[in-house]
Amino acid sequence: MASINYATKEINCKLVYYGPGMCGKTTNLQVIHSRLDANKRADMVSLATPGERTLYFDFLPISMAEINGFVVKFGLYTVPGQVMYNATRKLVLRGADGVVFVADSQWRLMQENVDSLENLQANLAEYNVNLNELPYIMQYNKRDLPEIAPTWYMDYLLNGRGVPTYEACATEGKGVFTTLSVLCRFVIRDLVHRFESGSF
Amino acid sequence: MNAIGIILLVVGIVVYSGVAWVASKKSAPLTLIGVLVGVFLGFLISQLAAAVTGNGVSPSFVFKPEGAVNYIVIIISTLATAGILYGLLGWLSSNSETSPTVKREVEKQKFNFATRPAVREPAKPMVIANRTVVKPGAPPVSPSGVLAPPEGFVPVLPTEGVFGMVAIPASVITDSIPEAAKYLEGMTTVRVRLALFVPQLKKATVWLTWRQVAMQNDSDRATENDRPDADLLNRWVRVPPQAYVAQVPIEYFKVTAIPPVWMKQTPVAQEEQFPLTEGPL
Repeated sequence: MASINYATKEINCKLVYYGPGMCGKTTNLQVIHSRLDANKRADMVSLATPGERTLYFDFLPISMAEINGFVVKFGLYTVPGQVMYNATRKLVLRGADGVVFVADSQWRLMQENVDSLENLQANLAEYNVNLNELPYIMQYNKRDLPEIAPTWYMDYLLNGRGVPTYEACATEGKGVFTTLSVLCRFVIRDLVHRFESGSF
Repeated sequence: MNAIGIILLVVGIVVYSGVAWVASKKSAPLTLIGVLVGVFLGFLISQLAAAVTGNGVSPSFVFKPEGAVNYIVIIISTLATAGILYGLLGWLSSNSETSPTVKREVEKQKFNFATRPAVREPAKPMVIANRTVVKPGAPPVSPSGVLAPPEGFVPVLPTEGVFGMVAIPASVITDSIPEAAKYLEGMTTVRVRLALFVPQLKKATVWLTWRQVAMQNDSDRATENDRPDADLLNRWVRVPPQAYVAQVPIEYFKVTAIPPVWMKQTPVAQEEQFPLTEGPL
């Protein structure tokens, strides 16, 4: 749920990058951080293990939009993908306004993608949130690798709701900003509609 | 005290002070104590020398009472010397190996029960994570070391009305059940009923017992002896999606998408601030 600060005229939204371990969530944020204008973003904070695995979360604040005189700031978060860190994932997911589900396109990780999506739904359910109510999109990452599954098969496994999907190669920065941009659009749209309907 | 006594007194002071200084190395109080002990012992040695040579004021072997004092002095000086040597040896050994006290101090510094603050490091701006081809997590293995489906897995029944076969590589079976290799000699693929795959398509990985796999291939066997025993037939085979997806008719993968509520909302002007371009926003 976005928070509004009337004193500073800011709307803060939380976007979470979710997905199985090593699928490229942190890489997405690193690309955004490295390519975004310095005046639009702050420093990125990473809590990682020595093996470069996300231990708690990565956080990148960016501010890029304005609604009725209010600056919209997006806090981009990633979750640790490893199965054992579910408590942390659940905590980071709390209050999310939008989710990017980053799926690994490699054949061998299809099962992990399916499990991670189920885990996302289960964790949201604990906050009484349904994916039907929360803007989220799919990013099929690592499309440049050999032995990847076709997108139609990934759609079958992961995208029963027909949400927008984007192919990406996060290490090269491909698809990263499109994914972010589309999610921001949906979040802003949802926000404006909730303002107008008075349900905010 | 005669001249020899004085010389020995000076020599004693110098020798013992030197030994005490080396032993105490950079420690002022210990050096002072060493000097005082040296002075005292030097004096005692001069007394001993006077007694031995018969010169000086107290020839101990002539006058019994003074001789007794000199014997006591000899014993005390010997003990004192031994003490200093012991201290010197201790110091030398402490240089080669950390003393227990120092060790404990080091351990204390290394391990601290106090809460450690989280390390917050701003990410390096231009460093993109190195990507490696990830191996999937190890498949579930039962306590007996045999491959098993995930907890809560319910064995599937073949879907009725589904016909056709899927040929999976024999290596898929031997990867799950190495003991099956001898029964699959000369076979590159093994045929399995499509009806067994259909109910598991959504889960990506398909789990079958070898009995289910072998059902279609038994007719090819010449004798009963060629058949694996019941324990082996009840073992699980893990079929990864790439082994079967291309052989499953595409209609089984068609889904009727039900868009969520938020996708049905009409676009708003404010979202135009996010251009749909590949580059930075």
